[in-house]
Amino acid sequence: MIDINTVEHIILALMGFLILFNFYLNFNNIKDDTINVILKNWAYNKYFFITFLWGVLGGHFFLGTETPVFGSNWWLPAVLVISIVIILLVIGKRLDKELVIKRQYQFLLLLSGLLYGHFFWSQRHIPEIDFPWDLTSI
Amino acid sequence: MKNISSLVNNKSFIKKVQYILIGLFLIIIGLDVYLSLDSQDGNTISNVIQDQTDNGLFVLTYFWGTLAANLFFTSKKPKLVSSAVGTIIVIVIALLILFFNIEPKLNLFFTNNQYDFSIYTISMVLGFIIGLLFWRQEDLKTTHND
Repeated sequence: MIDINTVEHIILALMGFLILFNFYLNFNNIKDDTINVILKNWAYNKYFFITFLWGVLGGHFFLGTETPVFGSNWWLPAVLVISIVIILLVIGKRLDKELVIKRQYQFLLLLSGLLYGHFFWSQRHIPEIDFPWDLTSI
Repeated sequence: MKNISSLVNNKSFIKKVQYILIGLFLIIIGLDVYLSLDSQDGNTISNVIQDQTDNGLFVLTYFWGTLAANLFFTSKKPKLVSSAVGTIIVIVIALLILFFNIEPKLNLFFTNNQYDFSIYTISMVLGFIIGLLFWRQEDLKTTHND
């Protein structure tokens, strides 16, 4: 079992590592190796699910409605988002390596992800009383 | 800043960085799945980040917006400012948000006026606009690597 305090420290350590690592990558003598450039190149080609996922996480972490669209099935939106990401990944793997995805599609991906995270996978949903699938006892 | 012409292309190094990023991504997902299924409630990464924003990390939502613009919206036009100056502007605005304690003020204003939407919408949009203005990357066709 990991308590909340430890999770906070893990998140801060990961962020710190990414910032320092990116700082190093920026000032070493190799071209286009920063995390920003790598993620951008991925998002504009076969890993365009990153844009969608960024939107989903934004909506999920920071926004969120109170009405649970899926009722008490709190696990359903999470399973659904994983399925969508896998489908996008499979489509992306088939794309031509030289293809550059258009910017308006990036906007659509980001916006649809944000709306998904806001409406379907919100953390502010008012909890339902009966869980048909109670996984918390595991 | 180093002169661009002195920078070298090194695909195998970039591959290694890519593997580090994929590895980190998978570790985070594995950890979060474990946290969501273990016996303690409210300790998943999502829960912790949400609690942090509720407690005052308004800046995190701002960075979400700037990074969205930086990663996913490249620009073909000449930049307003160089990428180094852009980075500095993005960080200075984040520091200003912290220094002037914007979040509690905005929160109070929203409660007083009974506005019924999250104040984080504002900082996400603000970050996105700042990112679009000062912190975009070049179009992929000019900096392509796999």
